[in-house]
Amino acid sequence: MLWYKAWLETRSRFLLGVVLVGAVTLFFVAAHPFMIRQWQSDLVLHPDWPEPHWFRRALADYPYFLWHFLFAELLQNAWVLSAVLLGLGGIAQEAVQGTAGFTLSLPVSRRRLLAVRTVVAGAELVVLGFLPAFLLPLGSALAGRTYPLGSGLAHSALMVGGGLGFFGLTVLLASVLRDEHTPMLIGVSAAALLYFVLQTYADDAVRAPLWARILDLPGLMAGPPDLASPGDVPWAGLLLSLAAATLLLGASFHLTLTRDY
Amino acid sequence: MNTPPVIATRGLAKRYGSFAAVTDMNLSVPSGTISGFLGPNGAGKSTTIRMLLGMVRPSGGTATVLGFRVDDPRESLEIRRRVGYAGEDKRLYDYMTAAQIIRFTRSFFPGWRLDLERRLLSDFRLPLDRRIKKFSKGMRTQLALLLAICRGGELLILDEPTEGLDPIMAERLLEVLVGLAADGTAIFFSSHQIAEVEQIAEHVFIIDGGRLLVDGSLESMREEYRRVDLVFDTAVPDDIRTGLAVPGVERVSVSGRTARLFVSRNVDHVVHRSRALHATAVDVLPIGLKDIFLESLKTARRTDALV
Repeated sequence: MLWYKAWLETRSRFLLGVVLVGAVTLFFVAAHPFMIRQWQSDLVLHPDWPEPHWFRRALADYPYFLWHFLFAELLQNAWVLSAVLLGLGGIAQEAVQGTAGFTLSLPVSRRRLLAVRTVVAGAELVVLGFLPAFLLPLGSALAGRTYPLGSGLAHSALMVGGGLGFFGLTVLLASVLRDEHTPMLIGVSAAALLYFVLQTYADDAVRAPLWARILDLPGLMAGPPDLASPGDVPWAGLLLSLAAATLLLGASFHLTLTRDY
Repeated sequence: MNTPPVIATRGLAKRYGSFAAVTDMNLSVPSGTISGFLGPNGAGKSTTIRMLLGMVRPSGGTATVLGFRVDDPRESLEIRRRVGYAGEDKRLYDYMTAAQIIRFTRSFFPGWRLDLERRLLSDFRLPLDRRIKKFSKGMRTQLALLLAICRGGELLILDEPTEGLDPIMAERLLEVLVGLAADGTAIFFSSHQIAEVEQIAEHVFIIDGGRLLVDGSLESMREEYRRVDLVFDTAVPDDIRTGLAVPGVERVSVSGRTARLFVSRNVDHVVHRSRALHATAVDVLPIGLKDIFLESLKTARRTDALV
């Protein structure tokens, strides 16, 4: 029944994530022909307009177009937001809401309480991460185009593996802070800082400082546009990110086991 | 045959930085009885209870519940398997309906009392399909008590159980508790409602400032605690406090030609000593739990102020 409780606690955030991720994914599948038509017309009417580095390839390559707008940008943003929201909860948050006494009076260890909560939210996050991998081929087929399932799965796996740190960070914040809103605010602010400040530096491959390139988590989650072989996967960054997520979750467990409620 | 206490603490303490929430607490809660844990707000009742259930780690001392150590995570699990508990604020999961939370809680307790569940649901008339979010405070309290009582535990620990209940429901709850105790369940409940402790408790613990002040059966307290009023012809002798410095005299207060004693035992000896001090009238009056509680607090706080 602990699984049931964790599901009831997270389901509205999970369903919000499904709507968000699904809408973003299907929007770009549906909007592709209109955007391409508009870009082609822009090329003719405004040949002097500067072209971003991804423009020509996105115009010609449908999977690249989807990778650029989804896995490298908006889908990633939506998934990270979901990771922050799903990381919230746990015993410290229950203490704020006044229900920790009831939960801790049940014959269940704190380790199990947190483990079930983390596994359920983590599984929901994985589902959200892999949902586009299935929606893209399906939506594309309905729109008369093709998108390879393998490519979607590979990019989804990289996005989830690279971004689990956001989940770990919010789980830790929710274990440390006895406040309902601060963990969410810090989690969202950290993501915003990463996307609006750090990624701007990191995107400029020539002038980006080394630290910005090392901390370029959005770049890691997006990966290269073509993930054709295991050699294309940024293994070092991925493993580092998974290790960071494990450390953050481990710290949350330690704190939850030793704290007074 | 002597049965071991259901709750036993020795030197139990909890400190938060420099603040001592509980100090040197020695409790021995007898099995099969209703024990009241009395104290003013902030006395340390809830902290003590939360230590017993493994929610708060003791800073010192030892404690066992039903023979299991509270500071051992595995034994603490065993305690929670055998104890019914309702906390002070009685908040429950807002996102569940009453039926869902009953089903949820029931799944953890093989000895769940379905008979009691039905009886209490009928008494409380709780809307099973309504979300707890939409419950009034009284309904939430009723549901929290149902979830504690129906666990079928050997021991029931309730923190301020009647807070939020109307007088009729409070009375009904007290009846249920007496019935459970008659069936062999030990009940340990905290309260600052002296009347309800006096109504159902057989054993009383009074705490203040995190320290245990009084520990005894209500019956023996009623027999032993007395107020003794002494009236003198002239002024009260200056040496009255030294003259009455005998075991059992907890407090002496003087007003005009009258001295009032709060006596916890040895009342005959105290009366004898009073007469030796040439008191013209010595009145011995029985006192209720309320007076015992208030006088114990005054005595303890006065002693603290002198230290």
